Amino acid sequence: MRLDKIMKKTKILIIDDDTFICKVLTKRFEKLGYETHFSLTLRKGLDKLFSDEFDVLFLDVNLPDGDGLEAIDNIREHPNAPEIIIMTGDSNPEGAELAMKSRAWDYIQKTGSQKEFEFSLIRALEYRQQKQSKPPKQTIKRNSIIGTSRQVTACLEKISKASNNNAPVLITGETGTGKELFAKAIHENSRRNKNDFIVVDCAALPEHLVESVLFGHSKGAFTSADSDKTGLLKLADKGSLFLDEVGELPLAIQKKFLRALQEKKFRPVGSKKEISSDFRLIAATNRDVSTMIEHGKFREDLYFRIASLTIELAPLRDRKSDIALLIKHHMDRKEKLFDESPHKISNEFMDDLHGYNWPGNVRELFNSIDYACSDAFNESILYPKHLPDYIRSFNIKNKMKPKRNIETEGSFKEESTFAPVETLNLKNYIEKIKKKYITDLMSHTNDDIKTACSLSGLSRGHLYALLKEYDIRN
Amino acid sequence: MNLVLFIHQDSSKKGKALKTAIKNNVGGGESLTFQTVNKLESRLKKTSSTEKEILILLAESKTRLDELTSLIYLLENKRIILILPDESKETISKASQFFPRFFTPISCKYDDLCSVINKMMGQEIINNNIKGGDDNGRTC
Repeated sequence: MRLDKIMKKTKILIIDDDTFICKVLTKRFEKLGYETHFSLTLRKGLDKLFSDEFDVLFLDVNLPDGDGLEAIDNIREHPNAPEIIIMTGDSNPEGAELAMKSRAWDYIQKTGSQKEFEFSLIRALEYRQQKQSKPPKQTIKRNSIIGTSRQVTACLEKISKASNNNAPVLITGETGTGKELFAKAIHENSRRNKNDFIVVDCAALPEHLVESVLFGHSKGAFTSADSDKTGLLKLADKGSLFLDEVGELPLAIQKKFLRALQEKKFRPVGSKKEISSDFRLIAATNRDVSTMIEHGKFREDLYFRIASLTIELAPLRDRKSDIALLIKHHMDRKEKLFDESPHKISNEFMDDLHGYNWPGNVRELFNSIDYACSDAFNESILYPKHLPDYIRSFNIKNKMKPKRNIETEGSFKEESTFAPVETLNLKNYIEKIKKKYITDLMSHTNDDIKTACSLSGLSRGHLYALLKEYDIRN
Repeated sequence: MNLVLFIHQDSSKKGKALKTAIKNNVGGGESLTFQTVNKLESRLKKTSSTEKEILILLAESKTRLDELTSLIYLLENKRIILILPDESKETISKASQFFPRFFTPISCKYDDLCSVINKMMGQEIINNNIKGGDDNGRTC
C-alpha cells in the first residue's frame, strides 16, 4: 500500500475524556504524518466530526456526557463516516460484541501498546482506501421500493450485495414493511433474473401439505398421489425460492429442508431417487427467530444457514421522512392504473400522517390513503377528516398528551416564564430554554430529524447530542 | 377475508367443480365470482391494491392464462391462488409471474386447494358433509 498517498489526506479524530491518552496518541499519529484532532466530550467530538471529514475515529466508550457505543448509529449518518475504532479502559466482552455489531472497525484496550494503536490505525486506513477505490456502485432496479431515508438506502446497499452472490438471505421486518418486495428486488437484480422467482407461503400451507409442496412426490407416495408432482424446490432450479414466513415451517420439515439447502439435493416424497436443484434461497419472517430457537420451535442450524445475509426492514414509524414519497408513488399509481381523479393533500392531512405510528406499516399507509380518497370522492383536497377514525383519534390523543404533561408538570413553564430571575442563575435559565426549544422543535416536526435540522439550523450531530443531553427521545 | 373467484363462463364443468368444492369445503367469508376477464379487470380497478381478499383464478387453458397475465399489473400485493391448465415448465414460468401463494393443476382434486384457502383464512376446515344451505356468493 502506498502509505505516502494516505498520509497526505488522512485525518484522525480522538474522542476521549482522558487528556493524557489524547495527547500521547495525537503526538504519535502526527509523528506518523496524520492530521490529528481530539475532543474530551462526546458532544464536542460529534460537533467536530459533523463539521468536518475524518478518516478514522478513535472513540472511547465511557464519556462524561454519553456512551460512545450508542453514538455509533449517529456517526454512521455522516455522508462520509469515518472508520471507527472503539477504545475502552477495561476488558469488556459485551462492549466488544456491541462494538462489532455496530460495525466498528476494531476494538482496542487503552492499556494496549502504542504499536497496537498504530497497527489498528494502519489497517483501518488500508480498508478505507480499498473501500473508496471501489468502482461506482451498480444501479439497483428498485421496482416499487420507495424512499430515500437512511434505512431504505442501507437496505438497498444490502440488496446490491445480496444480488451479487448466491448466499441465502433472511429478510426480517414487521408485517407490511414490504419483505416480498425486497425479495423480488434481490432476484430481479441477480444473475438468476431470467429464471423463475418461486414463492412458498409457509403460513398458507397446512402441515400435511408442506413436504410434498416443497419437495414434490412420486405417484402412489400417499393415497391421493395419483401422479408424480414436481416440488417448488425443483421449480426454482436456477432461479430463486422465496420462503415467506419461514418461521412457520414445521419443525419436522426443517431438517430435510436444511439438507436440501446445503446439498442442493433432496428426495421427493415416496421417491427412491434423489434429484438436484440449484435454487437460491430468500427467506422472510416477521417473527423473532432467536426466541423460537430458544423455545425449540426453530432449528438453530437452519437459522444460521438461512441467515448468511440478513436484511432488517425498518418499520414506517422509524422512517417517516419517506411518507411523502410513498404517498406520491401510491397516488400516481392509482391515477394511472385506476383512472382515479387526482386528490391534493392538505398540510394538516400530511401532519396527521406523520403523527401516527403506523403499526401496519406501508400497507396500512396505503390502505388509509385509499380510504381517504374514497371518503373524499369528488372533493379534490384531502383533509384529516377523510382519514379513518382510529388514526384521527390517535393523533388527537397524542396532541393532547404533551400539553397535559406540561400543564401537570407545570413547574417548567412557571420557572421559565414567571420564576423570579434571582431563583435561577443564567446558565440554568438558558439550559431550560434550550431544553424547551428542542422539545418543541421535535414535537413540531413529529420527530423528523431532517426537518428539525433544517428548521433549527443545527447540524444533525449537534441535534442528536442535544437530544441525548436533555434526554429527549425521538 | 373474502374470496374473489375468477371462473370463466366457458370453463363449464371444471369451473363448476371448483365452485362446488369451495362452497362445500371452505368456511367463512363471502365469495364473489367473475365470469369474464373484463369484469374481473373492472373489479380490480375499483378496489384497493391492499384489500384483504384472496383471489382464486382458474385458468382452464393456456389462452386463459395469457388473458389473466394481462391483468398482472393490477394484481400487485394481492394474495393469489392459481389453478393451471397443466404443469409444463412454460406454464409454471407464466404462473410464477403472479407470485401465487399456491397453485395446482386443474387435473387435481381441490382438497388441497381448499385446505390452503382455509389455512389462509385462518379457519377450520369445514366438513363438506356438514356444510350445506344456500350459496351466499354472488356472480358477476
